Amino acid sequence: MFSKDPNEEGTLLQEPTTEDMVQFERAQCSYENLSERFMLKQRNFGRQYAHIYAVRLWVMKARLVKAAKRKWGDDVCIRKLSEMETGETCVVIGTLFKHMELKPSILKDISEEEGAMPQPPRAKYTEDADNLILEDEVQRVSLEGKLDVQTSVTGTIVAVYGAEDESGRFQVKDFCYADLPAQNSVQTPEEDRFVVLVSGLGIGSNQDNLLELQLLVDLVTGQLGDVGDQKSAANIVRVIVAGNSLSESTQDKDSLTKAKYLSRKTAAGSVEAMKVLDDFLVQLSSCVDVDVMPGDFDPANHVLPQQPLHRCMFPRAMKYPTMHTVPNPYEASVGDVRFLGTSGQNVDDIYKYSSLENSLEILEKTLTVGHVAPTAPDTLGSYPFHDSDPFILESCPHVYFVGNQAKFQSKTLEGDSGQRALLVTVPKFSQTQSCVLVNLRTLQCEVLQVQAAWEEGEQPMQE
Amino acid sequence: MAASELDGMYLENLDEFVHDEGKVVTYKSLSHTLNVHVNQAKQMLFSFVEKSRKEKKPVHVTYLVNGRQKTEDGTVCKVCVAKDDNLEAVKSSLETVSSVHVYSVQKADLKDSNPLYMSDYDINKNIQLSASLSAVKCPQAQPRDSDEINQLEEEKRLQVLSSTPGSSSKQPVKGKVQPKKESEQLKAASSSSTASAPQPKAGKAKGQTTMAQMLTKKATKEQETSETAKTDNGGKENKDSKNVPTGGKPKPKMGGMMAFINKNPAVKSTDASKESSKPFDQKNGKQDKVIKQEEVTKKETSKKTSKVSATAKGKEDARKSGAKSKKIKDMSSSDEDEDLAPKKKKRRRIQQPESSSSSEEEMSEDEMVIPPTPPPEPRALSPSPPPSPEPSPPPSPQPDTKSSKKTTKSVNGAGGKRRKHKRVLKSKQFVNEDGFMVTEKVYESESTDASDVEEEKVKPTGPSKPGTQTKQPSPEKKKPSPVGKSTKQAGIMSFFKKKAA
Repeated sequence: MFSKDPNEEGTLLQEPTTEDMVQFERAQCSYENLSERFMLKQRNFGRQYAHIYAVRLWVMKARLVKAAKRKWGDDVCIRKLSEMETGETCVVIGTLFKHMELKPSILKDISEEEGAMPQPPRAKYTEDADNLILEDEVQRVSLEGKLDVQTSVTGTIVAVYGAEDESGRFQVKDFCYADLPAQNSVQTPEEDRFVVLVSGLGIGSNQDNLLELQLLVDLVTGQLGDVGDQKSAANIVRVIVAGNSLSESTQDKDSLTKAKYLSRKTAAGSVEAMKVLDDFLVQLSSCVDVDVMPGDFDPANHVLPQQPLHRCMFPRAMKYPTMHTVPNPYEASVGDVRFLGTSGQNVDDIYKYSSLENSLEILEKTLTVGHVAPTAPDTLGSYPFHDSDPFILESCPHVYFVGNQAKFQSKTLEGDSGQRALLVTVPKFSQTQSCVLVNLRTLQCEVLQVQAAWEEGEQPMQE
Repeated sequence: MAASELDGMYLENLDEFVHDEGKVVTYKSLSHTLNVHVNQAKQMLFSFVEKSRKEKKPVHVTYLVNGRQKTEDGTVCKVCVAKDDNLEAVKSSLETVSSVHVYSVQKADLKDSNPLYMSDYDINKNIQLSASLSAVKCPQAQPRDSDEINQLEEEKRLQVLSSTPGSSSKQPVKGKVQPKKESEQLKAASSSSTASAPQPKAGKAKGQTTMAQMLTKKATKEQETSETAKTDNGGKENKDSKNVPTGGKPKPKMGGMMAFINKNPAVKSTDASKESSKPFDQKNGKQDKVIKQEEVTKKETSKKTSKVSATAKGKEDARKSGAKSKKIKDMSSSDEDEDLAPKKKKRRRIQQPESSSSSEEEMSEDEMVIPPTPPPEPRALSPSPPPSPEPSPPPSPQPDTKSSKKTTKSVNGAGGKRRKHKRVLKSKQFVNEDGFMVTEKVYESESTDASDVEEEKVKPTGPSKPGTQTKQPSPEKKKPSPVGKSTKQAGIMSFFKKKAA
C-alpha cells in the first residue's frame, strides 16, 4: 500500500484458499543508538546555569568564526565587546538575549508589590517592545538593525556584523549563524525500508482512540490488509514513538497540593494508562523494533534531556529485546540514516517566545542556528550541564523530526556543503489519527491515517 | 488441506457465533479461535457473508479498506473501517484502493466502533498466537527468559555502580531490594544493609514521636547540647541527628564546618561527595567496612588529589562549591538520603564512633576539595558569575547548620526512637506536613535563641563525645515526649496507627 506497487486485485474477498497463508519476514536494518550524550550520569542540581551558556558560546564560537569569515571575507575583524571601538565595523560573536517584559519571571510573581498578581499563562509572550541584547564572555550590548527581534529567541549564538554607534547600541548590518555541521553520507538501502514516526498517542484520556491505535498496530504487525499491504508492512523496520504516549489528563496536578492522607488510596491516573500502553507496545515489539521516547505528559523527569522511561513500567513489553526506551531528544542511526528528534517541547517553547507560527519554520530555525533547544535553560527546563551542551548539533541529521505538533508537515532543507535534511513535524495521533512513514530509500515521508468511518454516507475525513 | 477440511466446520462455527451467541466476530478473533492464518480468516468471513446473503439471513459486515486519498497537501495513505452500507462511498473517496477485506461480522448493527475494539481486547493479550498467525514474522522478537532478564538487570546495576560512585547512592531509590543487593555486591556491611532495610520502615512509624520530642524539648535540648558539645560524639550526633529531621542537611555539611576550622587539606575519599547524596557520604564513613567503595573512592581521590594539588584555586572553589552544594542539599531532601542516613548514623555511632568522626572529617574535606572544576576556558570566560555566588553560600550554610544542629541534638537524644526519625525523613517531601511543622519550629527557635545557636555552632567542633552522654539527654527527652505525644501529636499518631494496621 505505501509501497506504491501496482497491486493486483485483492484476493481476500473470496473463498478461503491456502495460497494466501503467507508469512513475510520483517526487514532488518542496521541500528545504532547515538543518544549517549543525552543520558544523565549524575544528578547534581547544585550548579548554576551560567555554565551551559559559557560552554555553548565556547563550542560554537569556532564554528561561527568560520562562518563569519566565509560570509564576510577572511580579513573581517572579529572583536570582543570589550575591545570594540565606537564606529568600528567589526564582527562580534555572542549569545542573544531577548528582553521580554511579558516573560514570566519568578521574581515578579513573588514580589510584594501591592496588587501584583501572578501572570496568567499566555499563548505567546511576545510584545512589540521586546529588544535584543548580545552577550559575549564579559559584556553585553543592545542590538538594533537587521536582526529581527520577533523571530529570534534567547540562547542562540550569532555573529553580527556592524558597528557601535555613539549611543552605545550596536547597529547590525548583517548577521549569520553557524553553518550546518557536516553530514555523513548515507548508503540508502536498495529496497523500500520504512520507519514509522508516531507521537501523542494520548492514552488515558476520555476520548480514547483505541480502535484506531489497534488498527495501526495491526497494520504494522501485518495482520491487517491484503497480501500486498502485508508485504509493505514487512518493510517497516522501526517504530519511533515520539512522546506523550500518555494523555495530559493522566497528569494529576493536585497531587502536589493535596494532603497525602487524603489521596492515599487513590491510584495515579497514569497507572491504568500505562498498562494499556504496555499492552499496545508488547504487540508491537513482538513484531518490530520499537523506540519509546518520553514526552511532556509521560512519567519521566520534566527537564530536558528527559531520561528514558523506566523499564519496570513495561513489564510485558520489556521481555522482548526489540523494545527500547530512549531519551528525549533522541538520536539514532537506522540503516545509516541519522534520525534526530524531540517530543516537541523545544518547538513549543520557541513558539511561545517568538512570533513564529509554523512548527516547521521553528524546526528549520533550530537547525539553522545549530542548536536543538536554544531557549534552554532560559524558559525551557534543562539540566545544569557544566562541561558540555548536548543540544548543540554535532552533525547534520538526515531526518530531523519533532513530535506532538498540530499537523503533519515536511520539507527538505539543503545545506551549503551538500547536506540534505528532511524536516518532519509529526502530528498528534490522539487528534489526527495519523502517523508518518519515512522511506529510508528515498528519504521522503508520507502520512498514514487510520479511521473508522461510521455514519451512513460519512466520507472518510480528509486532512 | 486444512482449509478444505475445515470448510464445512468453520461455516457452522461462524453461524453459531454470529447468530446464536450474537458475538462480534472479527477476522482476528476467528483466526485465533480456529488457529488459522489471518488471511484465511478474512476469506472465511467473506464466504460466510456470501452464504448468509444467499440464505437470506442478513448479517452486518464491516470492511477494511486501504488506499490512498488525495488531499491538498498530497496523498495520504488511508486505513478505514467502513460499514457495509458505507463501503462504496469510502471506496470512491479514495483515489486508489489497495485492499478491501472483511473486518468483522456481527448480527446487530453497531452504533460505533467500540465493540470492534472490545471484542479483540482479550485476543490481543495472546501475543504468541498473534505472532504465529500474522503475515509478518520478526525473528529477533523472541521474548527473553527470566535468566536473561536477571542477567541484564545485574549488568545494568553494575554499570550504574561503576559509572559514578555517586550513583551508588541513587540505587536505593529503585527499590528496597536493590540497596540490599548493592551492598551484597559491595561485599561489605551486608548485615548492616539488611538491618537498615527494615529500619526505615520501622523508623517511619515512629518518626512522629521524635518530631514531638524535638518540638517540645527545645529547652532541654539546648542544655544538653551545651553539655555534650565538647565531645566528638556530640559533633557526630549533631551531624547524624541533623540528617534525620531536616532530611537534607548531611554530615558533609558538618564536616564542611569542621574543614573550615581544621583546614586540613588531606584528601582521602572521593570527589563525588559534592554530587552524591548523603548516603554516599555516610557510606564513605564506613570505609573500613565497605571494601569496594574504598577502592573506588581511593581511585577517585587519587585522581582528585592530583587535580587539587594542581590548582589551588580549584580547592578554594571546591570549598565554596562544596559549601554551595551543601546548602542546596539542605534544601533538597531525598528518600534515599533519609533512608540510609539514619541507618548509617546508628551503625556508626554504635560500632565505630571514632572512625566516623574521622571519616566525616575526611568526607568534609573531600567535599571541600571536590571541584568538578569546569574546563578552564569556560571558567575563564565567565569569571564574574563564580565569584559572586561563592561568598554567599558560605554564610548561608552556617545558619542552616545551626538550626540543623539544634534539631539533631534534640532528636538524637532519643536513641531508641531513631526509627521515628526515619519515618519523618522517609516521608520524603520537603513539603511534607510533618516535616514542615518541624522545620518551622526549628526556625522559630533559631530566631529567639540566637545565643544558643552560636554556642551550638562552637560545640560541634569539639572532639568526639562518648556515647554515655547521649544517654543522659535521651531519658530526659523521652520523659516529656509522651506528654507531647498525647497533647499535640495524637492526631498524627492515629494516622500512623491506621497505616500500621
